[in-house]
Amino acid sequence: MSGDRMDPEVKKLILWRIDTSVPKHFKLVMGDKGALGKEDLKKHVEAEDEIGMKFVKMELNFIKALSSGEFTKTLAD
Amino acid sequence: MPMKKMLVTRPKYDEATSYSYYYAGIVIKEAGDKCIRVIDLRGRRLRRAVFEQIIGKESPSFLFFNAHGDEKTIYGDKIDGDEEFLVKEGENQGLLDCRLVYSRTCWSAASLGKTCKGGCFIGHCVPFSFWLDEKWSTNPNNDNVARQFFEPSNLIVSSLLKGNTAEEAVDKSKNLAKKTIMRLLNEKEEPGAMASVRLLWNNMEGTEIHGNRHMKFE
Repeated sequence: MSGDRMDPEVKKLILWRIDTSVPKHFKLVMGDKGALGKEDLKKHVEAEDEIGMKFVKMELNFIKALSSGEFTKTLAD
Repeated sequence: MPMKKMLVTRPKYDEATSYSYYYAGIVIKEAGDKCIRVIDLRGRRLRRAVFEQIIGKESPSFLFFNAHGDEKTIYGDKIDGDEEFLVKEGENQGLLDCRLVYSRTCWSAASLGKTCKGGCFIGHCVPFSFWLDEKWSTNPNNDNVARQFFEPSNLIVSSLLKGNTAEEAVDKSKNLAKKTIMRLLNEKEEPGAMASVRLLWNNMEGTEIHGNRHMKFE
């Protein structure tokens, strides 16, 4: 991500990850915005609003941990 | 020996607080079984005035907050549509000093927790997040999806009740989260497994200790 707008490729990636890994009966509880279903979550990411950006940040942190080896190292410790 | 005292705050007005309310109830029972005095602030008693009065009069050495929060604030209940703060940096953060605190709220370890003097603050520097199974959203006890996120968090409290230090309690919690992640990785064809792995990682990595890591609940 750079500046105020999300990189369109990053957005595409995160939306794809939501589509492929979040089951329909799952709802996300993150802060005080209630429980968000898969389609609601995608709308927040599309809109790049506060909750959407928080979710994207969390996803990117995980991807970084995975690619840097931190995820594997932590699990192995 | 004086009786150990623990104060728990647990509002219940949305999905996040309803689940925290339920899981806080489990450790309240554990504390009761250990003859620990639990001051359970919920419902109409969950007000800042009552909270401040109890801190002054009873001086519980362990505070367990379940609520919404931000970097500088731990909230209590919603009153007339607005969340009332219980502790706010720059207002009354001194109430946390010299106590053992676990704040199961979003963000409070990012700033508020660092102001705790002479005590120990365990909290989250990220949004504490979880997936729930909508089939069970009105009955957290049956929700095995949400359980995966609350069990590591509850283990912090259970370990403190057993006499572990703050550091030991957080280590045990992180180990349980890692074990759950490993199990989910082995079950990655299970719907939602990878989505849960990512949130568990976020909660685990965002759990921090500020202050005296060797502090015990005494």
